[in-house]
Amino acid sequence: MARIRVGIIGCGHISDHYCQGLKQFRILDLRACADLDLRRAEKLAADHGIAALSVDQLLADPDIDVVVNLTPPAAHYDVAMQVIAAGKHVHNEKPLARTRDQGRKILDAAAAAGLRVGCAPDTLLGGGLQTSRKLLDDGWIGRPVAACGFFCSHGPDSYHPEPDFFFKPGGGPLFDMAPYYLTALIYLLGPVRRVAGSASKGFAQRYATHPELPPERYGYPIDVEVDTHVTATLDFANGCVGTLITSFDVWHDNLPRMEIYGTEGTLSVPDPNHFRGPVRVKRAGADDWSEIPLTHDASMLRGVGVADLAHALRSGRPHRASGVLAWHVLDLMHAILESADAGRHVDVAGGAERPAPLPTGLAPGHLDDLRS
Amino acid sequence: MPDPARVGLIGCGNICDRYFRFCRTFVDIEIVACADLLPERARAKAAQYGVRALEVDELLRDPDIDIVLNLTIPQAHAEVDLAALEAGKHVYSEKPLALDLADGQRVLASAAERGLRVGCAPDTFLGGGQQTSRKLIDDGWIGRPVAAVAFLASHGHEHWHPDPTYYYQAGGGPMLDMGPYYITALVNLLGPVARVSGSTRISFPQRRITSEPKYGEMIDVEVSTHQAALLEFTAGLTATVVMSFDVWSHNLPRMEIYGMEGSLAVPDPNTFRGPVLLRRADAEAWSEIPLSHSDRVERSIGVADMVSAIRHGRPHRASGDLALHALEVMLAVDEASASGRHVNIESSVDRPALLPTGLRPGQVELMGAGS
Repeated sequence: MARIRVGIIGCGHISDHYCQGLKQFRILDLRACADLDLRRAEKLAADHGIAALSVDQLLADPDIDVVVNLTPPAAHYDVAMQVIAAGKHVHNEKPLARTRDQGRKILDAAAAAGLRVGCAPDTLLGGGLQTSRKLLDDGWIGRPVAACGFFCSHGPDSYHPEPDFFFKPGGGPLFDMAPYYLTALIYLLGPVRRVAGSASKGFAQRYATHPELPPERYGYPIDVEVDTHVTATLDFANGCVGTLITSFDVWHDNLPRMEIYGTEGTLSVPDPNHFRGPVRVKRAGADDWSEIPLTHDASMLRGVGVADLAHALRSGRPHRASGVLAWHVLDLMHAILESADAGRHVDVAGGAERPAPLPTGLAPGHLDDLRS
Repeated sequence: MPDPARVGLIGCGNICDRYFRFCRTFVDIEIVACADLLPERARAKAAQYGVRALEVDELLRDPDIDIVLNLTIPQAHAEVDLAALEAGKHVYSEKPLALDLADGQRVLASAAERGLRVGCAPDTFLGGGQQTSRKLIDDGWIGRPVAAVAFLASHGHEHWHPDPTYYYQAGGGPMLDMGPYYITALVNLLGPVARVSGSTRISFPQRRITSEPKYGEMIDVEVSTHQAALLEFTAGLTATVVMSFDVWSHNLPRMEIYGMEGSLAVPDPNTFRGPVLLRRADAEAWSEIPLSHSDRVERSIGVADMVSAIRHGRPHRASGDLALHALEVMLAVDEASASGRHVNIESSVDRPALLPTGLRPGQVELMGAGS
């Protein structure tokens, strides 16, 4: 099987994690990386035995088929468009782009060029969400009728060395964390057709308290310019009503991460920011929750979506962590804030259909069934 | 008004025993008579509790009754309230105040015109669990509240209630059934609501009764039974609220208030009890806080508080104004979902005052207060 040759643009914090994840899959041939800061590219290249290139060199390299775009969110659009213009497939970190218009242009440009767009999160390919999906499709909770997803935290003030951008336009808990929750919900329940939202800002100022900040920087104030507690109701096309919270304003909570309520029981879905379980089911009339063994591998890392895209290129099937799905998520996030601001529900058109489940019984390092 | 105040009870259904029993724990009030559309029901309760059995009209006309305790079915609440007020009596009603806003407003207008009081259940927010939660917030233990959640998720009443149909007809649904506890508790803790949005649905168009004596009969569901709401409070924070009869099991907390300095886990607002748990920002674990107010009170503390308030010329806590505000908020959820618009709440209400600490059993006022 011919391997798909991969290059990375953007050698920041998450790139090392991706390199490890991409190397899990035989179909991927990770060859090069690039960054505006060449030293960062050289460091990553040395650590993983790949070539360090300039961004222009990487884009011009005929031996790269897919570019993984790990630049900061503000650069996702520009870099993705350059990759497509260079005739390569692109897989973006989340979110797909800043604006819906940018996201749409990426999809249109790729379609015109006959190229694929993938996008994080790819946690939907993990054992936790795949098992949840299988239980749902196999009818263990009957027909789903409602759902919830809750991400509450006190934000990145203390764990990120430079948390400023989380509190500036384009940041906030919604754009940071909702992609995991919305992608997982859509993967389980299908597209959303209408949202309502409410948003507030609990703290006018934040204080950067990363333990490694130098004394003169420790506790520096950040003016909060975005809403940091965003809650929404989601009307899914299948009739389900979902309830969502993403928050940087909550110190502690006892909320579940995600639950799906069905006509015959309830599914407790694991944290959609991870690949693992536990997955639990409680059928109507049952006395206790039961932890269900995972049907799919949960050991993968970020980058598995790129491997799925590579398999999809080989077999001509759709890929799962797709730009179309990511655009729907981007559209929903903007619609939630629009709803909160305008004081009305916002209709959402053209949501993505649910990507297919992964087959069970896959060979290690593969995402297509080699037996068939 | 004589001491104790003389209470006439109308509606001798399920809930009346609790009022008969627990009114006795308050020295300021005494149930002296009861009435029901079914005279034999009233006679049975009258005999059981040693009070007079009257026709409804007789009770309303009786000059020796100061307060009407309205325990009729929700569809009759407003009508009986208005009749009691016209008869010159204060009235305390079971929840909800009315089934629509106009009826609720008529009740309050009539009372205001006559200088009479309207009280309304629930009074669970006067129990130890909710009062302690309120005290912790007021005393600054979690800083300024910035967000909240409240959840009631069950699979409805058709598996236990002998006649569950009305839960699924106009005036029913989880929000009007259980929302009064939750919304009233939230307003007691956080103040009034300014705007409401949300989404609601009928997940099961038909439901099968699995309780006796109507086992196997089907109910046609006329009202939404899964109600997800977003409440924006005047104080600038939002609460995410789900009231559902469509959920078999869940891991949701009852109620949590998130503040600038920590979080508060509030107990079930459908009870008078705790536990109340607090976790400040830096704390490793949740701590159960001893209750500052008694949890050994029951339904009727709201009546006792209203009587004492009349005597002392202060506002009463489980008030018609509070109930009307809660009703407007509850009705706005379905309206928002149907219209696709966030609904502005016209009514407003001050948070009822915290009960004093150090009350003795049977009291709602510190000795000597107001005298």
